[in-house]
Parts: sequence; C-alpha cells; structure tokens
Amino acid sequence: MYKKFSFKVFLFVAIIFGLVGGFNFLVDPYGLYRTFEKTGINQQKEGVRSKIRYVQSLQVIMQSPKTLMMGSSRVHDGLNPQSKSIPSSFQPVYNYGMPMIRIKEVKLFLSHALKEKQVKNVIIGLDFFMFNAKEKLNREFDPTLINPNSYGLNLYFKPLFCASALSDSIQTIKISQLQKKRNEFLENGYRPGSQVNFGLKSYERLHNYTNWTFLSTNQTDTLYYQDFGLDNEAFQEFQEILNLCKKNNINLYLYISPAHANLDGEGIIASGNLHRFETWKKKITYIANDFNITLWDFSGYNSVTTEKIKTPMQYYWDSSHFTEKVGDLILAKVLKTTAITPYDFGVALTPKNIDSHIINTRLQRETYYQSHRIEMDRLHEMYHNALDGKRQNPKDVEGIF
Amino acid sequence: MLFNSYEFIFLFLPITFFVYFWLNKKRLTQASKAWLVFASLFFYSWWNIIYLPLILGSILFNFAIGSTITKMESISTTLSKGFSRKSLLAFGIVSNIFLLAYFKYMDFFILNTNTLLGTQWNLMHIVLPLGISFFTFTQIAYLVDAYRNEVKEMDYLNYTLFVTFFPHLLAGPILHHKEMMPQFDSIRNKVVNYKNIAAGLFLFSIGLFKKVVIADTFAQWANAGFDTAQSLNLIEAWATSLSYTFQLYFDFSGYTDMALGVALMFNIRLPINFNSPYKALNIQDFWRRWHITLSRFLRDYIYIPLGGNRNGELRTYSNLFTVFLVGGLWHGASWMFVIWGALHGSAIVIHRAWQQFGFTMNKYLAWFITFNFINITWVFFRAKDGVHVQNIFNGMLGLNGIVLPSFLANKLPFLNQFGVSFGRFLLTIKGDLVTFAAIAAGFAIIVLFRNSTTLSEQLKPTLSFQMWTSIALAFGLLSLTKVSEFLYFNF
Repeated sequence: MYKKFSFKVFLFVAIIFGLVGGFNFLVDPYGLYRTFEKTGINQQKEGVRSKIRYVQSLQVIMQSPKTLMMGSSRVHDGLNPQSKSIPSSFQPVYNYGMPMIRIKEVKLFLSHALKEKQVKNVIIGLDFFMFNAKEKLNREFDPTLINPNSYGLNLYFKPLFCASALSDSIQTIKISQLQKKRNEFLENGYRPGSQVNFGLKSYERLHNYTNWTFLSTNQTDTLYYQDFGLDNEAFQEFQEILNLCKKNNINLYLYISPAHANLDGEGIIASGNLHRFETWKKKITYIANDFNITLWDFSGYNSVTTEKIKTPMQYYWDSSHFTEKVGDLILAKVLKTTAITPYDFGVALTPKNIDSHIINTRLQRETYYQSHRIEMDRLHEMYHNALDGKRQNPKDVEGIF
Repeated sequence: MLFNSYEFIFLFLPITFFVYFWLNKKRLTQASKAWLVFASLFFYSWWNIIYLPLILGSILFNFAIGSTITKMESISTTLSKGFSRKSLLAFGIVSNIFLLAYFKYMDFFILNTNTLLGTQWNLMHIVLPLGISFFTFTQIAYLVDAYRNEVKEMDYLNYTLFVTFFPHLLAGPILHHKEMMPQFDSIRNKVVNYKNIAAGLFLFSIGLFKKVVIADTFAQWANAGFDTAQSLNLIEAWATSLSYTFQLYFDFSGYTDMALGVALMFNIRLPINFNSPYKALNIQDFWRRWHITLSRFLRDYIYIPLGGNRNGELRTYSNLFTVFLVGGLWHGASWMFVIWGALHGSAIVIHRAWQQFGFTMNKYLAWFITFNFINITWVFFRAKDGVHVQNIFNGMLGLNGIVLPSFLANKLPFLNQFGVSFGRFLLTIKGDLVTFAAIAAGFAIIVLFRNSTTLSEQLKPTLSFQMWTSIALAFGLLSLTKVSEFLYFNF
C-alpha cells in the first residue's frame, strides 16, 4: 500500500511537470521557441519585459546572427534589424540592445555572443551614461547568464519547469488578449519603440518624465546624470571591446546616440557634466582612431535632435529614445548605404576635428538656447528641482499613456 | 549541498538511498555505514572542501577524548583517575568551545576590543565553516554523556556516522548520541520500509514547499524592509516584521521537515524540532515548541550544570537568564543576538515570577501578547544593527507616517487631519495586496493547522494525502529556481 503511495506521488509530480512544461512551451512567454503563435493568445511575450537580458543572452545564440546591434535601450527600441539601410549581406541581424547597459556589460555580453563564430559585424551605439564610474555594472547583472555551464539550464529547464515561467505564461495570455495589436518583443531581438510606447498619448509629458528621471536625486533605481563620474576603467573596457573585435576579425561600427538636445545637451549641462561629456567624446575618438575605426557622432544640436516637442513627433518617443526613422538614418550613414540623411546629422570624429567639433557644438547650443528661451527656462527650472531632490509635479507627468 | 537544490534531490539523494539499501541487502552492513559516511562527507564538502579536514579533525579529537573517558571508567575508578576524567572532559569541552570561538566569534571579539581599548587589530574575516555550531554542540553533548557513563558505543565508524549523518549535519536538529546509535545498529532499520519512505516523502515535500514557496515569498518583503528601505510607514513596518516572523518559521521548520523526512527514508527518526511554536500561550511554552533540540541542549548542558532550580529562586532566575544570553550568542556573533537573548531571558524570568504568584491570563490575550513579543524581538534577530532596529521600530510606532490604501481615501477622509495619507502603502517593501493576503494566510496556517510532524504521523495512503504531497512536491520543485529578473525597464 505504502509502496504504491510513493510511486503515485512521483507519477503525479511527473504529470504536473509535463502539464506545466507543455503549457509553457506552447505559450512561450519568453519568445524562445516560437512553435505556436496566435494573436489574442500569446503574441505579446510579456515574460520578456523584466527578463530582457536573460532572453537576449539565449536568443543571440539560438539565432546565429551574422550582425549584432549593441547598446542601451536606445539601440534596442530604435534600430530595426530589418531596416532598408542595412545591406542584405549583413543578414541575419540580431538586435542585442539592453536597457540601461554599462560599457563593461557590453563587453561581457559581446564576448558571450562571440562564442558563436559566425558573427561578422557589430554595430555599437554609445551613450555617455554607459561610462559612469559611479555604477560600473547594474546591480542586477546576473553572471550566470553568460556562463556556459548554466546555458542548458537557462534554455531548456527554467523557461519550462519554473513556477515563475508559469506565471509569466498566464500574464502573456492575459496581456495578449487585452492588447491584441501589441507585439513588443520580436524574435530578432528588436523591441520597436512604437510597441514599447503602445498607447502613448502625450509626447510632451513622456519627455518630462524621462528628463526628470535622468537628473532626479530622489527617485532612482540606478544612476544617470544625477551622480556621474569618469575613470579610466570604463575606457579600458571600451578598448577591450575594440580589441575583442579586432582579434575576431569583426567589422565594428561605432556611433554616439542622438538623444534629444534637451536631454543629452541641456540635461548634461544642468547636471554639471558638460566638461566630462566633452572629455568622454575626445577620449573615445582617440581610442577608436587607434583601431582605425570611424566613430560617428549624431548627438548635439542638429535638425534631428532639436525637433520641437509636440504630440506626435517624427524623430522621438521621449528625450532619450529616437524612432525607427532616426535609426534608419543612423544605419544608412554608419553603414554607408545610399539613403539621404539631413546634411547636419552625423559627424565622423577624428583626432583632427574633435576639438573644433566640440567648439561647434557649444556654438550650436548657444543658438538653440537663445532661440528657445521660454522653453529653456522652464526646462532648466525642472532640472534644478530634480537635482534638489524635490518630487516631480504630478501635472507634468499625468496622462502619458 | 542544500536540500532545496536540484543536485540534492535528483542526484545525491536517489544515489545515496539506492546504494545504501543495496549494500544492506547484500548484508554488507559495515560497508553501508561507510557509504553513508562517505556520502555525508561529500554532501558536506560540496560547497567548499576546505573545511573537510576541520570536521574530520574535530570528530577524531572528540572520539579520542570521549572513548578515553569511557575506557578510564571501565578500567579503574580510583580518586586520581576520577579527577583526570573530569579534567579530560574539561579539556575536551574547552577545545570545542575554542574552535567555535575562533571561527565564529574572533572578528566580533576583535571589533569589540578595538572599540573598548582603542586597539587597531585587523579583522580576520574568517569564513564560518558550515554547520560548525551544530557539530560542536552535538559533540560537546557526546563528551558529557561519556563522562556520565551514558555512552556504550565505541566504534569510530558509528561515531563518525552519528556526527556527519547528512540530514542533520548543516542545520540540526541537535542530536543526542544515545537516541541515534541504537537506530544505526538496529537490523530492522536495514531494510527498505515503504511506510517510512511514504512518511519521509510527505515530510520532505511539505518542508520543501514551506521553504521555497512560503518562506521565500515572505523573504522578498522582509528583505526589502530590513535591508534596503530608508524609512517605513506604519503598515510597511508591520508587514516587514510579520513577513520576517513567518519567513523564519517556515524556512527553518521547512528545512527541519526536509531533514526529518530524508532521515526517515533511511529509517532513522530524528527528534522533532518544531511543534507549532507560534501557537504558544507564553514564552516558556514557546521555547518548548521552537528549536526544541537547542532548548533541550541548553537545559541539559548549561541550565542544569549551573544548578537549575535547585539553589533558590534568585539563582534560578539568573541561571535562566544566563542560558538565554548564551543561546542568543550561539545564533551569531553580534550584539543584536545578545540583546535578543537578553529580552527572551527577561521574558522567561518575568513569566516564571508571574507563575510563582499564581496569576492566570485569558487564553487569547496570552497568545496575543506572546506572539507580539516574539514578533517584535525577531526584529533584533534579523536587523544588522541598532540603526536598522530603530528604523523598523519607528515605522511600527507610526513615527514615519501612516499611509492607507487609496481605496479608503473616500471612506475615511477625516483621517487626513491626523496626518494619515492615502496611496501606495506598501511601496517601499515592494508589496501590494498580495502581501496582506500572504500575511493573513500565514496567520491561518500557524494558528489553525496541524503541523507537518503531526500530519506525517497520521499519514494514510489515501488519495488526498497523495494529492497534497504531489502538489507540494511539484510546486516546491517548480520554485527551486527562477529566471533572474531585471527591474530597470527603460533607458
């Protein structure tokens, strides 16, 4: 009698495991297997939302891409792997961008991806905040993601036989039903900005929210411009990335992201980081030059980055994230494909022109500042409140979505 | 190796089990014991092999001392020999305590000396060997038992098995030599017993569920409140302290259930360690129900040798208080544990005095006071330092403000004038209404349910027992790991 007891318990457990595993496999909340996909049931892979690094670290191996696009969420939400600006010889392309990534993490995830030998091209969008010496790795960076020992466990066990995967599956079904037109986490790693900002009502207020987040000393999980420092270590990490690509015969394409001038111009100035920003640009220009790699700068005050803040906008979702349209322009310029870009969008930096480029940017800033006095006064007042640790005025951010 | 790990559940346990009973079936009983010792040492070394020599040395030393004490008794009982038995015992105990002191309390001692005398000694940052608090106490008990002529066993293999037997090695229960050795030798225990396996599986499954599903759920709020929160409002602070109170119980008793369950599969009955402690109606009652084998150890090897209650009331009070101070410090090298021990010691003394005067109390009020005392004193047990304690207490007293759920804003608007606000009331500890539901469920379980040991004794091979065991085991296994989360959604 008791002999059967244990046997039946094991049998029941096996059945429960089979049911849970099968359910998770079909719903596929992390978008890893893609065997069954139906709008209204499981097209919106909600499980990915808080587990982007986990999913990206697996997909990048599963997809065997020839080209990687790396960087922060600016890359993740803005560069389409299917963009017409990408030559067909680059395909398959995988968008390997991750939210709030630091330069050290770029290096670690790049070397993880290079375990698969077919990668030939890497495009990296660089951001000033990646180099913050005050926070070199995200607190929640998980080294087991890039550890080959846990790869099988991560790919075949956790997404199927885990209670948290089960709840992610249920969430996936729930949101897929509620938002039938939403499909945010694609198989090629891309997370289109239009899907991220699904149902966006007020571009102005989303700008307010983002600007505040970058400078607020009160409500922050991670550090942006409110607490920023530079040290050599971050530049060494950058150098190691270039070395890694050189060693693996990889064509590397580098550019500095164009966030809106109100943030990666005024926000940097308001937080007292202008000098560090210029030093940073100079240093990475010299390092890239040492490796014979062109570094493109799309930031600053040009016809894209100074787009008027209104609803809707063609170039920006918020002050940090540009739209796919801008992504296409960047790719066209960096990959030298034939698409027309605005004449003032994108400067190739060299040790020869970097100093004059910095002075030019300052002059352009002055023009922009003077011609937008009322808006600038309001913006800088908000920045000062954020830096003072005040709470954001609820009216500035209500009704974004 | 932890019980709640894949390697233990899917590899270590099945292999150890089958080889053990296969050897027994072949009547290789010595080999089967040796196998169990080997498996236990492997279990111990899994995390870090560096402390294997330490535990082996400790076992060899204590066995040598213990068996010498026993032998001396049988050879001669002259006065001088009797004296040297005692000094041998003293030497053994002091050595054990010295070992524990070195590994567990050295940095604490250095830190306090530096503070008191202004010295500048460097901390040694010694890593605490796994289970040292447990195997040291177990072996001190063995030495004392040997001295009291209660030890008959003198076989080194048996002794090693008794100390290292993997179910109790890392987190107890703290065993007595005399309750274990006969079980290892009993012929009946050498054959597979399906009833024991069923009961063991039941206990293990319930324990696993308690640990990885219930305790780990409470842990997220307790950790957020104790470790990261700057200031907690009234509800957050109480949710934090109650979450920890439940976390600790479900974690520790769950782990003990797993230990008892695994041992039972090998036909070994470990002593019960928890008996619904949060149902206690007074503090003495609590200590008869919480970590029972520790209380037993402290009673037999500290309280009674100090004189127990034989030397008048005042000495009894001071003995009780001392026992709890030692018990507090045993839990860890920090003044917080000492304060916690002192508080419980004081409560025990007050309770005893109360009883002496013949007072009684309403049952429900008694439970309420006892539970709250335990809940509040756990804050000292968990907090890193006085600042954290103060942070939690300030919150629990409402000094950091009171925030109520926003749906009450329309119903109780007059509270605004008393400084009560409405909004996201569990924001700081990352909780929500689920936290409330979990705490309510926690109360229901600790007060209304029979505990796992009682249930396992009533186990019948019925469908409902099978279902509950399967569900607990399956959900325990499904919750062993999770995909690591990343919380910065944007930028």
